Amino acid sequence: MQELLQRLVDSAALPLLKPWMDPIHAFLNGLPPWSWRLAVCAYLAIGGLWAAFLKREAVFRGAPSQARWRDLRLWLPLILLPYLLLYLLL
Amino acid sequence: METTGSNLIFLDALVIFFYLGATLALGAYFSRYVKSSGDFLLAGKSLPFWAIGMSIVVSDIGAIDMVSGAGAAYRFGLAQANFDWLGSMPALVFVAFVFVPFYWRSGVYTLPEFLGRRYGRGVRGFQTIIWTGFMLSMLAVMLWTSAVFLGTVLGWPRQTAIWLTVAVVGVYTFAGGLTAVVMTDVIQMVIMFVGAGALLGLSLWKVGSVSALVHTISSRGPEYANYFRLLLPNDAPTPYPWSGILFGLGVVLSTAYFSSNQAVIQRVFGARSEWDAKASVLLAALFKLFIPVLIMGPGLAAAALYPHLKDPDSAVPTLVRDLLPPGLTGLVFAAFFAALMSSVDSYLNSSTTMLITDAYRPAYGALAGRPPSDRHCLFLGRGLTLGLIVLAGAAAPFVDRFTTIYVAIQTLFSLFQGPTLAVLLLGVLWPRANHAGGFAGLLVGVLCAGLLNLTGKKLFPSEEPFLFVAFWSFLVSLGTVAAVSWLTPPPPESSLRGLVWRFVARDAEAQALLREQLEK
Repeated sequence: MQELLQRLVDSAALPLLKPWMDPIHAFLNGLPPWSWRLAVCAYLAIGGLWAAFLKREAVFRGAPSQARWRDLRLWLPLILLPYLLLYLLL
Repeated sequence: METTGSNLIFLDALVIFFYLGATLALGAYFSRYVKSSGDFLLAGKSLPFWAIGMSIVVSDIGAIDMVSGAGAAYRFGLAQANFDWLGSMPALVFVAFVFVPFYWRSGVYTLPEFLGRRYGRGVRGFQTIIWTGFMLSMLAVMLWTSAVFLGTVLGWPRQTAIWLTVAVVGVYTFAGGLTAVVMTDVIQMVIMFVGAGALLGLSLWKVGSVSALVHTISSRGPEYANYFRLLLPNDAPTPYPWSGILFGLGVVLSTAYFSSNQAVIQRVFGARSEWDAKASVLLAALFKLFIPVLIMGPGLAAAALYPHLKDPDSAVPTLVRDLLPPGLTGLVFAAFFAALMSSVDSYLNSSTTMLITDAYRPAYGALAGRPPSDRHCLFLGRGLTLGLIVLAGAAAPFVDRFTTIYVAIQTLFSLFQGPTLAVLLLGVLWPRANHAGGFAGLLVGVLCAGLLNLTGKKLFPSEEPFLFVAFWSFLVSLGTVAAVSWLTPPPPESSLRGLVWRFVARDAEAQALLREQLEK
């Protein structure tokens, strides 16, 4: 049953999808290593830092006090930096 | 010194039994705080951020990771660490500041409940079936992993190992609900870190140093050229090329996992304030930094010490058997139990919550014309906890029939994670998304993922194409939700209040309305 389904899908879907996928992967295969590293580090940086621009009210909502350490925006560099270093160095 | 008849000496056995006894005692202690179904399922919304943060990490890292994660590191090298680094940090920050405030303010118990309020019953039912089935399968796999580990190293019969785990986890989850689960997770994380740290330290000591480890493995030949690289070429013979890691894992799978896995986010629902809920997720992002070092480090050390293991998954059991002195073996075993139990208890408590909230309550309401009483739900919650763990224990031996169960689980996960994320994301951010769009997006996305799983090996540059399947099914699902929603009437604005970013962030009236609904 699974074999039949596999053959059916291969004959119907592969000719449709392969012409779309192959150029994408040929392009990705040709990218130099520094560009992947840059893309990943940019994703990490954007993923970690956008929240630093949130309003104070949104960050402190529900906090029992307004103590400085409870400002979650200040936690972000502490969390982000080790990850960035790992992806820059390894 | 006296032996227990296996590789474990008396001192080790003492450490393990002390640990198991303490866990049970802690569960019994927290049972005194369980007075209602809200206490049992959501810890009465009383949990502090540090406990939830530790619980999220330790629930996420289970015994499967301790064995198979190290095994995958043994086989594929450092790239395995992406699952805890790139596959965690951005997603957790996003979840902390986008999804958590939503879940928190909408006052829901489960993700299907949230999606049900946002989209309607069809989407809720679809999600309940998918997640309950998935979590029950995972429970059986976890119990089987325990049986294999204990059977390999100690020579225990597998049935004994399964039912011992069932008894201990079942009893404290039955008694103390989510509070017991989270508080035992805190202890379990400490034990897991100490035990895994000890194993890492000893194995590195045996190798010599980190640079000796790198030198030993790298000098084996060109096939090890990428072994210590996090990002691998797109055409490298690995399941983890950089494009799959960035787009499939970083963008889709990790965001979907942390924003929609009931076992992870249920802790967030139990936080004592919205700030605690957000802080807990950020704290988990910080703890995740150490996981690859503790889990995969021993796998890499085993690759240096035992280069010819037939089964990579035996890397950690082999290190435990050969390197650890008396007493420390018990500690590492306790760490293994900690990792196992913290995942089993989480999945157990979450499956129970989902079945009660998304299946039983709506069905009872439809048949009886009124909601079930709280006492009724608490009684049912405890009954289901016992029933499900016994069911998973009975099903565990069947896992042995599947030789590639871990890959099967990953593939199963990739079938619905992309579509779930697409529906959730548009539901939260786009007021125009409607019931028809949500249901069609889920259905088409799951079908697309199934199709891509069948053709993936010929379509993508990977033998295990689940990362690419997740990414493309996410995009297809996103497009389907958007297209169908545009072609069908928009949802009334009154039904979106409190459930869409624009209305939740600024609408105090909606909050009052939701609170009122919940109180009713």
